[in-house]
Amino acid sequence: MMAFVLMVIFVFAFAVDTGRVQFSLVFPGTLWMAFLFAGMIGISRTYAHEVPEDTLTGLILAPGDRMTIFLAKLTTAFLFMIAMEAIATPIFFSLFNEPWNGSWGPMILVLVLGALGLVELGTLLSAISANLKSGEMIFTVLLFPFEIPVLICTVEATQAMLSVPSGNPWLWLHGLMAYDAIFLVLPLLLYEYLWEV
Amino acid sequence: MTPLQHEYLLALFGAYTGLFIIMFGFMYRMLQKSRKLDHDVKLLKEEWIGQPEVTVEPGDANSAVMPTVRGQGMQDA
Amino acid sequence: MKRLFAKDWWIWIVLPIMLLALYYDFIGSPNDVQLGASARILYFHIGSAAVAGIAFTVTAVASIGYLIQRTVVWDIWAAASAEIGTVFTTMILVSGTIWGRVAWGAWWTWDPRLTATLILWVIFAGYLLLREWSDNFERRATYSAIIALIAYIDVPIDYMTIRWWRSIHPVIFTNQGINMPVSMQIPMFLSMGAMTLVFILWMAVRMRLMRAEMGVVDLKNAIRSHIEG
Repeated sequence: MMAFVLMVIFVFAFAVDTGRVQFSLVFPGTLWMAFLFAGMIGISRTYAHEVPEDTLTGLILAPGDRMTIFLAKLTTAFLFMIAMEAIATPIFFSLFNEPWNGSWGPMILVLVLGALGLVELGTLLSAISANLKSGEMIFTVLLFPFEIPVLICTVEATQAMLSVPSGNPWLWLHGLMAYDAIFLVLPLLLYEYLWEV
Repeated sequence: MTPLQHEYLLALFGAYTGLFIIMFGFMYRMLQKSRKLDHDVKLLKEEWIGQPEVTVEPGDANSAVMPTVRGQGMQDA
Repeated sequence: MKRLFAKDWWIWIVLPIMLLALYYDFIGSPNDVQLGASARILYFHIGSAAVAGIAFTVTAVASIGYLIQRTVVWDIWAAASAEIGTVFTTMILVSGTIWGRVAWGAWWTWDPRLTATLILWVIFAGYLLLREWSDNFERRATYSAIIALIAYIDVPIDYMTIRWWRSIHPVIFTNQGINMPVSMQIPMFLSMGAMTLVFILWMAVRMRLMRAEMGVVDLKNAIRSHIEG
């Protein structure tokens, strides 16, 4: 995931000529696009490595609530996302010479909420796609449209924070919170049914 | 209403009429297909029930010699 | 021609009603004061939107039903309804772009309403791909039910976008009543009703075909278990 996001940064540096284009206009979009792709790669592997030796069956048979399996998977993916973002964001800022004039609180909040939004549905879809024939394909096709609200909210919030004079990111942050809340509850309600096949 | 608008509306009307006629054509095809499937299933069922129950004796023949007979050498049947 | 009407003649009853509604929409009804002739596509647009809303609601309800009861019937309902809903969403998008070109001067804008509708369309296209690409019946039914329930969240949001946010999309149904003169309400409700009839008819036809397909699968399984058992 980390290597992938570094490669994305590297490729973006060549895809957009930073000398000619005013890069700060597309900077938030680039940042979240890189995170979306990297997250997609990382999250799709959440259940994939259970498949070859069928360790998932063992997990399901283990005593205890199955909810914990889902929450554990979610937490792991979330921590990976956060770690990746924590390393990649400074690199992004320094490599593209983006001046930092925002406040720390909202920026960290948008990174955390954005990572949560990407991970929640991603974990559920990863559980679905691990059991399917062309799962990788279905994961991609379904995850992208579901993540569009996250992308819109995070990009707009980041844009509001970084612009001079800085705008108000809270409207978008609230939208992001609502999304995170809905898609945290819904998989928890539906997750139990995944195992009954 | 100008003549151009009238033509535009007529064209739209024609286009949507065509669309719905095609749609109903598809529905008709679907019905035909389901009728055919029902018919085939019925025929196959009758044939299946009408077939005499033949028990194939598991003979001594090697499956390599008589591949269609359930023999001892045939593991994957 | 005779063959065409011999069996299944009943599906052709709805076609004249639909064509009558279309005729009334495009030619019979009076022109809109501001938008002129182009506003007429709106009747069709609203009609398909209503049908798509109904169709996705049926899908969501049937998906809940499947997750609770695990019977094939619910899955058939959900699948047939989602297919039809996707087709009607395509019609919304196409008629919307035609109208938007005339009224707004652009084929497409990234307005909340338009974006939400496009997301809905893409998600249900993914839903249909999921159904197409999976082979195990029970898995397919369960997974697609879960996806349908997640996707259904977008339907009320899509309905409310133009009321919650500033949108350039016109609002017809408001709290104060219907934002439309009576002479325009008649063709609107006529096309809504006619398209709902088309939806019901299509559901019946599609579910019949699915049931026939299930019959083939059942027979195959019966023969297989007879031979193996």
